[in-house]
Amino acid sequence: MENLNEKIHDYIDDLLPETERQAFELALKTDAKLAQEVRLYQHLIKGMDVATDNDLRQTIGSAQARLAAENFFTDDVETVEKPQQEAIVRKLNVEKTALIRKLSAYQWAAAASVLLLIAAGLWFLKPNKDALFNDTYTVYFQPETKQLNDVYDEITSPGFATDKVRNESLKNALDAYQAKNYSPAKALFQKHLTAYPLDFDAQFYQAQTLMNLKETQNAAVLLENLAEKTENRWQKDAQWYLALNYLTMPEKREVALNLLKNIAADATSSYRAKAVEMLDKLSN
Amino acid sequence: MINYEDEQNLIEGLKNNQAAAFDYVYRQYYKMTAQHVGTNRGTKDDAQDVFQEALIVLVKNLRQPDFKLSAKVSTYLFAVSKKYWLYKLRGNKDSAVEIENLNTDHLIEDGDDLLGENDYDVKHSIIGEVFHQMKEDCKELLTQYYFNKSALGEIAKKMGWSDDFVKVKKRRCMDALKTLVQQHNSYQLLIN
Repeated sequence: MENLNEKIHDYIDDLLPETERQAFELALKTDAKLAQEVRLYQHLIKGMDVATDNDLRQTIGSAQARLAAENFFTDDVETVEKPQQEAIVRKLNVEKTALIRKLSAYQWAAAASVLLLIAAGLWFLKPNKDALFNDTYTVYFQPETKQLNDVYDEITSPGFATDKVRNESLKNALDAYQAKNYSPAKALFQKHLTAYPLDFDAQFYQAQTLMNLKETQNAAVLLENLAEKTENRWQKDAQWYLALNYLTMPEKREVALNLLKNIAADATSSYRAKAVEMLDKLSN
Repeated sequence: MINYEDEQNLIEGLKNNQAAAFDYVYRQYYKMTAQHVGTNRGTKDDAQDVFQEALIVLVKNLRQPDFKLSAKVSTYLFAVSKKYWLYKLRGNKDSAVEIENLNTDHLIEDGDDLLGENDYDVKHSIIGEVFHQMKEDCKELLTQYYFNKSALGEIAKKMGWSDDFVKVKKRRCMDALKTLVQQHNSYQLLIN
């Protein structure tokens, strides 16, 4: 069965030697189940082609972003806070006009106090940006676990473990991370990275560990490296977590928003929906 | 300033990735899809997703040398959007009641009239959607292999894997995609 599966893969990848290919194609004519299986794999490749047309998705994503900026997609729904603020502003303007017409010099001082109080009230109605960004970080930060099994798989599968010492050392750190023992995990990753400074898997999970320990500045340093390098599997994850980290740093918020915009326009990123949602929340 | 009201200009614009052509398509034709999805239990986000996938199907087909568009761009987009949304609704058990109120035969025929056997179809768009849910390393590996035409040895080097592992990994990733597609609620619709 395993052999047949391998043969199907080799056939769709055009890797079968000529005689085997001919025999396989003969079998396809008589075995409907096999033919259906091969058709499914061929559909999968075509489907992936649709999914991976990055330029096209980028163009469409940009068109959507341009139109979204014009409120093309938004319904005419106002938030509760906005009408409240506008009502107060209207009231303020009415009172101001009335005061200008009627008040004496003595009364101007009292009126100015009233205006100051109303202005102070409006200030309190403004959302606290720091709290908003920090809350967003808390809500959206979820440690990466989806690919953890793959990493374990690679370092423990017999026949694939090329560097046993490296794998053992990484496994110890990952075990601590998975058990949520973040302080020991941090020390174990640090030790591992001293011996293997270019180990991207270790860099990524050390960054995750640091984020769990709320050491966002240190986590950002590791993530910046991973987010830049195209030749590592963590690039897109790193961009997302880096954006989250930057949200907690007031001087980096603009960079965070730009990163999120890039992720939102990247149809191949699995973080796209979250980035769109987050940008929407942060812009309100 | 290109006049996209001229259908041929619009088609050329979409084929050549002209941003203004995409803006034009959204401005002119999106509302129709949004209205259809909205009146059939969809949200604003659903409508945007559906329209985006329909637009991808259209442009991918336009870029095929043998493809002949047998309807207006607006008709084609609306037909594909409806078909795509129908698949999504059928895959969503909560929408069973609303499905009864749809003239589904008509919707399917609309799309099938326009899509040829070898064209990029809604089914490929749905497979694409499932592909996006895969783990990053599988997506990267399959993209590199099938579309960037990178050799397995080259991919292994980039990803820090052994040559033996990358071949097994590629097969596992394809099988994982197959399993995910088979688990998709619309799988039966996809293979028939």
